[in-house]
Amino acid sequence: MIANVLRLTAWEWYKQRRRWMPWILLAVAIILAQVGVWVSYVAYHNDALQEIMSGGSGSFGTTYEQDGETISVSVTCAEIVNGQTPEGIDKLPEDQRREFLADVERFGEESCANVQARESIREGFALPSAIPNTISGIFDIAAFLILILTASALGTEYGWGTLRTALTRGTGRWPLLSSKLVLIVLLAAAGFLVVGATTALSSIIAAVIPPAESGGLFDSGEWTDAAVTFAKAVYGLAPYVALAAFLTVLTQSSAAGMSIGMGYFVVELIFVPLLRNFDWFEGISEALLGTNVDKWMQVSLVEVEISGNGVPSEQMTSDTTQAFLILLAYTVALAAAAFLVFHRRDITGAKGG
Amino acid sequence: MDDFVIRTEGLTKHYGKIPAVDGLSMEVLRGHVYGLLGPNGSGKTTTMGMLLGLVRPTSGSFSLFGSTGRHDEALRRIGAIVETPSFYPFLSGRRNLAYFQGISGRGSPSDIDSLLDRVGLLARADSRFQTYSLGMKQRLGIAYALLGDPELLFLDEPTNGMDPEGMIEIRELIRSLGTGGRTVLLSSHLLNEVEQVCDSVTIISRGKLIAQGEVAELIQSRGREQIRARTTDDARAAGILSALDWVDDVTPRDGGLLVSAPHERSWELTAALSSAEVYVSELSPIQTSLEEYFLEVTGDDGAEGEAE
Repeated sequence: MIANVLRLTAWEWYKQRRRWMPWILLAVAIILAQVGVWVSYVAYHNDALQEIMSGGSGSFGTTYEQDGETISVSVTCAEIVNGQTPEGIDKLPEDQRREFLADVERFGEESCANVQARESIREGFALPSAIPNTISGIFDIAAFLILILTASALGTEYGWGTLRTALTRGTGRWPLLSSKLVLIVLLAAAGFLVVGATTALSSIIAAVIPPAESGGLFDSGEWTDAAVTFAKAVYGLAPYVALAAFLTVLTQSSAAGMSIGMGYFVVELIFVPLLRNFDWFEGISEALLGTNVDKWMQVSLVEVEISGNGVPSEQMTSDTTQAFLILLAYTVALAAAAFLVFHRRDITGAKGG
Repeated sequence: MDDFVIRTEGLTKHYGKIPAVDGLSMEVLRGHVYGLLGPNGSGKTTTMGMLLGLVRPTSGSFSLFGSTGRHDEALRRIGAIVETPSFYPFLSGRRNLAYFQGISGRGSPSDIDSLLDRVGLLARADSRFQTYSLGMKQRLGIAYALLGDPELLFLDEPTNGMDPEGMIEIRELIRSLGTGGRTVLLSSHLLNEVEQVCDSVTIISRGKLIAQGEVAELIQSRGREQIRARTTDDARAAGILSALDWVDDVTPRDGGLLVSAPHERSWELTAALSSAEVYVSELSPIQTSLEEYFLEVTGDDGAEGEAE
């Protein structure tokens, strides 16, 4: 069964790579990612902006007496912004360590805002933070593009009548639909990889071209954050693939699958923030696809480190787990509905839509 | 080995309250070219769709190669084109065949060129499908159906859109395909095509089985033999011939007479007329065709049928 699905997936790629659609969508994603990188670069090197932001540098430190020994602990704004653990903090007893971290947090909020803002702009084009930043930045667009790709890959089969031609070869309905969905998820992953690679290339160019004060090549953020954001982005797109598959199979049309899927996306984007003002909507909002995708994508390793010194807070863990489970439920439910409809429906000739 | 490659038992498909196929029971013998004949909207394509697993029957059952289960496995022994052949417009004919050969895992990529050659499409094999004429699409459809050398072929209106030369060529190909143990189920509304190509035929109308059997036997079972005659005095000739007990009917038609009588007694007919000094200027036997038989058994349905 799995071997059969993988074989069909390879043949699906044989076909899809000869279409314009996947390449156009990939080009759109790359262009938008590049816009993000280079806008960050230009903003970082903008003189007026630099002047506003230059006032926030500084450091915070204190000394403690411990068994006759003096312990000095200090931290700079840059270290706070980067989520680095202050040197020597391990030597402090638990209660003093907690007190120091609270002071650091207060100092960071009051005195490091400008540095943080400037650093966050730098994260947009410096490696490795530029990669997760870009992937997170284009995620909503990627969701849009994946809705289009899924609806197109499935819907055109109805439109051209080729679904009937394929099914009379004895491929089986489940393996055929599975292979299409597997390929779309793989293409989404490949798309993010290409976006990541092109972002890295631009970041390297940004680091070497004048003005040279962009900083080091690989000193912004963590590579693991790039890997985690990549995995989260692929997982976050899965419910949209399932949504578009279900809508397209239900309507047997790529145009309808695309428009309803994108319509849902846009409606959620516009109306959920407005309706959040009402108490009765709070519970509904928590269960919506977009809300959970946002929660899932927003929690990054950097945030976890800043807020909890490397240990995720209880609230963050709970939000992430909840979002993970809700997205899983959406993916499974929508994919199951798509498979069920696809399995039971009669397949007729070309529909032309 | 079961002699029947297809058996249906009370096969029924309703679209809402409208029966597209109504309790169809038919059997198709191995190694024949078998015609599925019916007016537009009679249920031919729906029947093929059910057998190919594209359309879910409302009730009834069917078996392929003697087996009712593992439909996907049975499909791997079948080649089919249903209605207008549908392929990917952005792929060439050759790549379309490579894709469908690949997903089924039947046959070998090296078969593709020989199949394209067999249907006369090798010269345009690398052109995109969207640039093909309807006749070329049909040819590609037949090549597709032949991928993997199937034991059973479903061909739905395979000569649709072809020029007369192409139609003759494809009919000859279909006849040759029905030899060597392969079975061809040919669905068509072109009665002369079915008569020329098929050994046996099933006639359906409004989703129901009307007749089933060998083409020659069916025609003989219903067909009345008729003779066209012109004489020196048709009025007298009609009287003389009507008096003969082996003549069923004499009707004036097209400036002559249409005589319902066995062909082998034509000589007796001329003898009877000449003895009464009425002389025959033209005498020709009229062969009952499948078309006449079809119109007789389907009644008005043939004219009323809607597009399928």
